[in-house]
Amino acid sequence: MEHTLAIFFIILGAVLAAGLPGMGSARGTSLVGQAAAGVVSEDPSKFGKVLILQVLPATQGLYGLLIAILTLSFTQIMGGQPPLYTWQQGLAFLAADLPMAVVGYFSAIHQAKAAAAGVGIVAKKPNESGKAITFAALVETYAILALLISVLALSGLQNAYGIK
Amino acid sequence: MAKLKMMTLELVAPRSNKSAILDYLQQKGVVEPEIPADTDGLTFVQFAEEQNETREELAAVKKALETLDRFAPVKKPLTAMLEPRVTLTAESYAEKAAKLPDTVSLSRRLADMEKEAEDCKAEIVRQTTLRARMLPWQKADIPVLSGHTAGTAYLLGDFRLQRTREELLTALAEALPDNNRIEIEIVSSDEDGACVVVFCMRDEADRVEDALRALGFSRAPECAAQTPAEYIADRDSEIRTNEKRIEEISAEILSLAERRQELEFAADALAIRSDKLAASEKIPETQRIFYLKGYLPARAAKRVQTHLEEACGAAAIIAEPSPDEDVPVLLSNGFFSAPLQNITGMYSLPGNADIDPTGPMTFFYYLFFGMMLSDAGYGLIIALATGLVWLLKRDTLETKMKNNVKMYFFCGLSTVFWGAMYGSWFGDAPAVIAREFLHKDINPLPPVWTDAVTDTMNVLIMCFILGLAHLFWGVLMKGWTDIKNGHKLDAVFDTIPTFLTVVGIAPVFFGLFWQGGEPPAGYSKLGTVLFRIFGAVHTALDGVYVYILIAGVALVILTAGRGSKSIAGKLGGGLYGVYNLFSGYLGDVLSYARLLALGMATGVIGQVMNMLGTLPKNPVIKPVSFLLVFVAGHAANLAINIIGAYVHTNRLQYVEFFSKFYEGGGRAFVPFETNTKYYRFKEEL
Repeated sequence: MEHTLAIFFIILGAVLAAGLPGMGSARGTSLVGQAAAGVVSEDPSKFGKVLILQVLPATQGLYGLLIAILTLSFTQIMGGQPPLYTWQQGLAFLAADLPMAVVGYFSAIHQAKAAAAGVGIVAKKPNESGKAITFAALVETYAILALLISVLALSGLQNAYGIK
Repeated sequence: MAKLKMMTLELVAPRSNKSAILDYLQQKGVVEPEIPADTDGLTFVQFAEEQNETREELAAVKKALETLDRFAPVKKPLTAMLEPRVTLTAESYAEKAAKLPDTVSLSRRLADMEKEAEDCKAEIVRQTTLRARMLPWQKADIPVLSGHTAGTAYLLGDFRLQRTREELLTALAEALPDNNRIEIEIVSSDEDGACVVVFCMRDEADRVEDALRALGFSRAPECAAQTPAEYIADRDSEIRTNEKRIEEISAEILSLAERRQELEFAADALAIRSDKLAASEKIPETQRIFYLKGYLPARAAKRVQTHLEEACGAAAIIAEPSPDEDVPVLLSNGFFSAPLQNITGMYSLPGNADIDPTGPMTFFYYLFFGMMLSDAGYGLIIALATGLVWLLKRDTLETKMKNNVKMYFFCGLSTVFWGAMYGSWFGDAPAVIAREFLHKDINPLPPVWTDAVTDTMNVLIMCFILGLAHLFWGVLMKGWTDIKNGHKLDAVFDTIPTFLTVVGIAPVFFGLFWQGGEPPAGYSKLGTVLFRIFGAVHTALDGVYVYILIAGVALVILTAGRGSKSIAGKLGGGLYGVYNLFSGYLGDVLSYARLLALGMATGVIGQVMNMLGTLPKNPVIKPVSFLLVFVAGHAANLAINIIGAYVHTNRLQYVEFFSKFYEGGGRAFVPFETNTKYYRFKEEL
């Protein structure tokens, strides 16, 4: 029973890590896509440039997926026999997933806002699209920091609990 | 292999030769004219009238082509997209151009005919409405016309509702109690309405009609002196006449459809003329001569200069552009890189200080695309399809299309390579087929290296290593750009401190993911070798990386602020450089996790498709369901992931790689040339 509860927490963590940033990325790419469609309706040749801006907030979803897989892989739920966990250990893994889950969701949406504004740059000054990408890419820093903390915490827990 | 060298062209020629010289330049399509900065004593001649006339004729021809499309549509096979346009020589152009006025009048005639057909259609609608309004009266054998005799008036009209004679009489009696000299005859009455004839005294006709109106009466449509039956017959004959006319017009337009090519040529020729007039307006002249300034690629310069001077009586000067000039950019690259020029162009063309990034990104572009799609089966499909097109159409494909085809061919090959490395052939199809249909528990095509779906951590580490290599390559390009621009010292300071710092911190970073020890049992030979090499490097660095890191950080602090004047500024800049380096590279390297994530997504979805197909237990249904799910499922998976691989490969180039050395902001070279839709006039550069 306790083991099942632990597995539940671990899975919940993985689900949140894949789910929330995925939702954020979906909202983010949609937001930029709407702005981009406006530009393309005026000038279809700008498709390539605005497409890159649209893709920027898609990264959080991929990071979330990565953390979900690392969680399942580190705890040996994926591809092995998971050792017996206490429910507190399960909860610790869940906590390790939270930075990515929460920051991934919000940074995707906020990055999308910066990218959507960047679409305006592409519309008026197509030669400066590199700068538009930089503005939006800066927001991604915080998703990456969260990703790093989640990886560190997962890897630390794996060592602390002696899982091999 | 880079940006093509551009030269400036200055040309002075007699005004009488202007048209001929512009024709020549337009056909060559290698010169981009620009409005000269100094135009003292020169005037710009406007051709508003000619331009309006040309545009109006062009609009007429385009409309005629649309008319033909409506009346005689041409079915184009899907492969038409790959067909080249017919190339015209100067002679055949002149020959066809002679017929231009004739073609323009043809397009006017087509416009008139279509207008007449439209009028006929409107007339049919009108006649049909008139006919429908008269239908309820068709039983009446007198003309449907209200009127009067000396003392009596008669009103013909209808109600929208079914009415009986009694109802109407009662209602009229209530409305006009002092009047009993009214006679009503119902001509027809059903649920759609009633047609009636009302007789009354002539001087009371208005009051009676008002009372009837209150009940919903409206006067019958007038049909002059005809009976309704005659009237309806007339309408029918009008409709038939118009229908016949439309048929005649359609047949006539169809018979003109054979002149479609003539119209297509006219559309192109008029577009060329319009472009020429627009260009001519921007080239200033005096009463005797005109003066053209422009850019052209150095390799075409000699040929153009010779022709202009010998055949056109012009004085042409070719010179190097001055360094501060905004020179337009034209890229030229080799066999593998040329297809990627479009990718560079989508970001931004190289600016004055930039090198062309197309060549440097080529290797990693194909490599990363393959890693993200990472299925040998999908790679084979792409490579075979594009390879076939390339082979069959190698002489006829237009440059842009050919580049796309080539790019996907190389991407496909790279995908086959990575698919084989990961052992992914349409997901896990070989193993599934062996297990489900041959009842053997083997994998006929095991991974050359490792299975990305299960061996996540090791693949992830390799993604980071490749990412680091990509980033370092970008830093080297920064050094190369510095050298090109004559900043040799910067080339050293921009590269070495970065390399040392990042290499110094790398073992800490990889330690997070690297579990060390021996490779797992059953690991492929290649995988084992890679595993041991990485382990050895990692261990070897273990003792020294701290010193490398310290050396690197010290160098960054000393050099990153070298742009500042004051000591404090230098130190501040140096510390900021260290911060930038750590935060920037951390994010950049982690970003390459998408190489794994997208590759794994392709593999996992492919495996799910294979699993779904083999769900049925029935030995007859199973192969059928497997085949159906296999084809549909993998087609969908390929379609989704090919887009993902393309977009995210571009992102890694633009955001991670280009940001290390590339500014962009260049202006594309837009030569004065023939922009045509149906025919090709241009000679290849």
